[in-house]
Amino acid sequence: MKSRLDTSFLIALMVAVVLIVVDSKSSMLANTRSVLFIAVKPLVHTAQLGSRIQTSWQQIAEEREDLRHRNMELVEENHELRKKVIELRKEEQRNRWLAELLEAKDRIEYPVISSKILSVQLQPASQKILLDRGLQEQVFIGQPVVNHKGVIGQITAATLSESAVTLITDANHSLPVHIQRNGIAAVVLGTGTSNRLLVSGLRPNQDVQLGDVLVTSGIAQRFPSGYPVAEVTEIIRDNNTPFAEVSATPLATLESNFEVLVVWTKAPNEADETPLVSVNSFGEQ
Amino acid sequence: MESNKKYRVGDFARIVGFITAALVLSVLTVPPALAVLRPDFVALALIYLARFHPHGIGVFTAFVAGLLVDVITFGTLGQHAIAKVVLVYLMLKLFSKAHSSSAKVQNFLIFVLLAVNALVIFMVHLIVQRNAGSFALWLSPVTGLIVWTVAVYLRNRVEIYRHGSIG
Repeated sequence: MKSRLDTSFLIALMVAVVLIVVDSKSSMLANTRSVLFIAVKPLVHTAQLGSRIQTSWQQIAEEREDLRHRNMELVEENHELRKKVIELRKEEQRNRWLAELLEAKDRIEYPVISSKILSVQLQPASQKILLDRGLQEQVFIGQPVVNHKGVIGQITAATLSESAVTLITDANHSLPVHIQRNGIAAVVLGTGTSNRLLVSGLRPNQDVQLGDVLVTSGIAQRFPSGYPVAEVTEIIRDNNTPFAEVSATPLATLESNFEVLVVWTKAPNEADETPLVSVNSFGEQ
Repeated sequence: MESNKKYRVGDFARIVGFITAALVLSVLTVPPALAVLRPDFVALALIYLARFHPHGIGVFTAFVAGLLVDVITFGTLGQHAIAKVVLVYLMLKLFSKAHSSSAKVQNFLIFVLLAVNALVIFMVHLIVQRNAGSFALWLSPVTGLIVWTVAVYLRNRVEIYRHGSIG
């Protein structure tokens, strides 16, 4: 006598065989399959959930990566544009400077050439700039250098293609001037700082005021006469001393110079080779 | 009577849960390299239920589970059903005798059962479709045995944690 398990097994086996035969030979079970599939459809969706999440995650990651790349490109582009803007502003400033220099060139009655500043050395002991013009352009020692705002200094050393200019702020530099307003004569002395000059030779009772513009006197016929040099910024009068203590600020903004003008107040062969400072070699005093 | 009814509801829920999980794992989207190694999860679920929770599991359950595999995998209806019926029948017959055998013997029997399951599927495939089917079919008993070993180990750990001994 067969057990219940054996009977169930035989019945299930027969049903399964019938199903296999019917399903493989005909499409009679197509509807049954469809109905059964509705029951298992949620399981299929559940099984695909992982890959869907993975796909979505990949898409998000790709989009994020794209955005990151795009952002980096934009940052780079922005950086480039900023650089261009800075360059354009510099160029604009330079153009303005050149235009003003050109105007100054027309005002000066002597021959001039423009020169680029190669380096600036502003130290207490020595205030100098190096220009890209030298002996081959017939530059000579003692030759004045100016820009459109005022006097910068004078050439104190030169090679074939470069020259060193001692600035009017150099502690060893002196320059005869007079007050533009009333013609009182004085001497401007360098202090070793780029924004301060001393004005000597003015007695306490002489007519000098804050804001007075000091211009070249042209006495030594080295600098063009009447060219702006500095503006009076401080006056200390003490009747017990023979001279007033007067300070001035140079009008030529030396640090930000783009180009300067080298002036021929004399022909090179007439130059006396004696600058208003004592110079024994290139750049050394 | 009441407690018997509760017991049957619990059994039914366990069977449905195991078969559902096994069906999901059977069609879970995995990379092709892993799909080849996929064991027959429904066969493993039926063996597990027949081994550790034999109440309520029988050839009818095996038939329904196999039929659902055929539906979900778009195979010939009855192909997996017949394999699972044979599997559970042999399982219930064998393990009623080999219940107290060593773990090695039991694992060997599990491997044989999984191989029989694969053989039945192969034969039906061969007769109906006139081809040998996928090589992955013959890998499934091996990967199935590995999964089985891990599952039994985990079950034993849980039982020790819950009751202090393997139930």
